[in-house]
Amino acid sequence: MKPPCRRWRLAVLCIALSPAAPAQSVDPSHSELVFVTRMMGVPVQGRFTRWDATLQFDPRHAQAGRVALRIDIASASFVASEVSAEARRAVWFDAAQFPQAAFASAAIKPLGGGRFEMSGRLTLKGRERDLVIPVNLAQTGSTGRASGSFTLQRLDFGIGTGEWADASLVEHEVQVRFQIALTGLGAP
Amino acid sequence: MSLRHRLAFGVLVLSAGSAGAEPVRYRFDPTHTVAYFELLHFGTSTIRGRFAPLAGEVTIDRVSRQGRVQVEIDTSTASTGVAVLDARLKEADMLAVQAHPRAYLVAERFEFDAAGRVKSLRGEFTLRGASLALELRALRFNCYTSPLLRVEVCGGDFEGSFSRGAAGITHSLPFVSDTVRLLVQVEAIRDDAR
Repeated sequence: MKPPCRRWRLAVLCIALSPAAPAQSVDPSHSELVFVTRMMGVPVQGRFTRWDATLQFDPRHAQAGRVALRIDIASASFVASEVSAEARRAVWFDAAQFPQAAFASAAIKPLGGGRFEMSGRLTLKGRERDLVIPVNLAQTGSTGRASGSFTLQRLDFGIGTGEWADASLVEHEVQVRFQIALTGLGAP
Repeated sequence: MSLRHRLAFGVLVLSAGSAGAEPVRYRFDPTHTVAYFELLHFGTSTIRGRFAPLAGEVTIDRVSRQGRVQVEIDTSTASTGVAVLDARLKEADMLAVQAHPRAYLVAERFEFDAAGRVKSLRGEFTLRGASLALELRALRFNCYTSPLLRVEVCGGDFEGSFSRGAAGITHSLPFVSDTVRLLVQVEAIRDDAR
């Protein structure tokens, strides 16, 4: 890491000359992280309302980018509050034992046309799995919207075990959808 | 309520559910769909057991007042809570679960009341490969919106009976009744093209 630019007089110049883009940030109020499963055939959607992301991502140098996400598991919310309460219990997310989930990117591959393939590792309920996540980036000036979706198998993470492992009650496949508002992006 | 009012109410209920009327498909909620059976033992007490969960679906057209239900019953799920009885029930001369792992109900003759609730249904019950006519009468029928799933759920309690002898189950007649009373709890979740 290069030494920080300390003197305010030089700050502007310093940023302009800096080879690494400034760290980007996420605007959580315009972002969402939702997941959908099916309960007895009916789609049931939940969302995480508390999470944060740190990222260093310059669309021109996507390969050098890094993304890390931390999710407060107890923030999992459903339309029905009974479901939110149930989801925190040990058989599902076990929020008491595993209060955080985390994702860390390992590689970001640009596919062209604002599309990227991000691979990384998800830690959820104490289990780790490698994921490949397709990401679309729509950029306007220095702001952008990263979106995408992928599927997980809930049993890979021990979510909904015992009697609830029955797929006819709650499907094993869970679709995760994200829309993340980014600021501080460099020129596209 | 006068007859006129009752009719008006019925029309209201029907029209409320009939916007763009067409058959609506519901799929059984396996956690609230159970068939209980009862047989009289030595004219003295009632043997009870159940088949659960039941898989199936029902289609209801409230405007044309038609319906269709098909149910698949896993005969090996027969349970009285008494292990020796359950083992006996599954043998070849009774439910014959190896030769006949499934029983079926298909019913297409639905009757509705003025408010559009299912009143009864008649169809064919296939047990041990034998087809029996079966009528199920609603003791209650209702629809509600599930607060969990945010979709319409319809269901009720239904009652009917059949002769086990007609399905070839004659063991211990007449000490255990030939008539089997069925009590069916059913709830089905509206399944729009999802």
